[in-house]
Amino acid sequence: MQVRRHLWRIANVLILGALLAACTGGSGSSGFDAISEDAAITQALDTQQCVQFEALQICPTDESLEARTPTPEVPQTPAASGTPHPPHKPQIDTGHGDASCVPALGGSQCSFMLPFAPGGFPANADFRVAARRLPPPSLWSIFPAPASTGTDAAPSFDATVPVQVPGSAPATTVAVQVAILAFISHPAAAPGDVKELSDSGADFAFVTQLTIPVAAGVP
Amino acid sequence: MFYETRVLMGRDFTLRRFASEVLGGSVDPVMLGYIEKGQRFPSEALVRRLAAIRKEDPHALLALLWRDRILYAFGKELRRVLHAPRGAAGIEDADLAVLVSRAIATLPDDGSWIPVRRWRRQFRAVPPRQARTVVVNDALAGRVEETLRERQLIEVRAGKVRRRGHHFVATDVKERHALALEFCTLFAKGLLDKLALAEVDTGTYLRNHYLNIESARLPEFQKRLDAALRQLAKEFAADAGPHTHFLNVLVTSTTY
Repeated sequence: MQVRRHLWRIANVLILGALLAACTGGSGSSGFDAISEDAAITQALDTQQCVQFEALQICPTDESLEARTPTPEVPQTPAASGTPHPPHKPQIDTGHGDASCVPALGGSQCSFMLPFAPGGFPANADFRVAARRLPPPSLWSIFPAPASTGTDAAPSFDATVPVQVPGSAPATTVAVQVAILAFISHPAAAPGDVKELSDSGADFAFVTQLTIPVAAGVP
Repeated sequence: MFYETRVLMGRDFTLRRFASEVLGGSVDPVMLGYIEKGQRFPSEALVRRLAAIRKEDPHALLALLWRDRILYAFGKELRRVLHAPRGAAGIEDADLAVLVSRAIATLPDDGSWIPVRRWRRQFRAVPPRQARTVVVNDALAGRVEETLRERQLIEVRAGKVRRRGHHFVATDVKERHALALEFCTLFAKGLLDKLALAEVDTGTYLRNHYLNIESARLPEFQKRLDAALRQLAKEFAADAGPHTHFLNVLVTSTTY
């Protein structure tokens, strides 16, 4: 009798479980803008157009002239209001064609050089580079100020971007997302990690996705 | 509705015979043909006459007419706003957006795999009460699948499909036009349910909640509003069946 009651109880639990498992209906949403920063980054990269996410304008780097859209505008600041702005929209061109990730001695990191040239920003704009490993997306690391290699009229920078290399197997490539952050309304963020780029206080994030070959010597 | 009534009367009515014998000559047969194809709006008197023939409350049919008129006017203005080509006009443009919503909602929220065939059958099966709005043909359904794949909202492998995302973002002009018309359809329906069908239990909830809020807290408010709605949707989502409705919750939080 006890055994039969026990079996009934098990059967009831199984039936209830099956019923709950059957209720797997889904839900979703649709709209004109992204609802998470990751979705906004994906959209910017897929469409090659700027996407507004909260106070941050997320744009692709190296936009072609045809793809350049007039949407983002440089915010006016008291410091910048007295000086005329360049007439065209902000953009960042990068040069990463032949970059390779050079291993650090005895560590699990490698670093690559990312040259970039901003255009269309006010003179008081400050730039920082942030990067994160893929997949899955990790925290964004914001690095110290990049070295200036240009002039006031034609600014350009060289940024050193360190990346963690997985130690489990010898890596031949590393996939990273890189964001060049432009600070106009707020001072540039200090080096460190942030969960989202919007946490950095930047006005613009120019993103690109790179797969960098790792130079020999990395564990 | 006119076509359905003409065919369901089961006497092999031609347009001419239906216009003269059933509708009493109150409409030209050519115009009736346009109305059946959705190329012209019927007059309100004609809709009342149709309701009497169908032995239905005229307000339910009039609400459909008013909704479509609102959509038509909205769609016309929207084309100007979006600089959309003329080809993107028409109430039926909302079909794409409606079908995208149904296709996403048909997939389990937990990301588990289901057979592609079942998924296709379910999201293409439009309940009879929506038959006027959505006519699912293979081309439209194929376009929906392709769009969802491109946006990485679904993953298809070995005859099975699963969701990878929840949120569809309209990007190009055509998608934005389609989505705007869907949103307008939902708003117009909700409004007319309360205005034209106030005595009928339509199951529609319509409220405006208002408050003064510090500007700095607005993004946080909207983030939490979205999270709360997402949580509610997940909690109440069920498999589509004879006893379910496809519920849409259209939300706008905007300063005035």
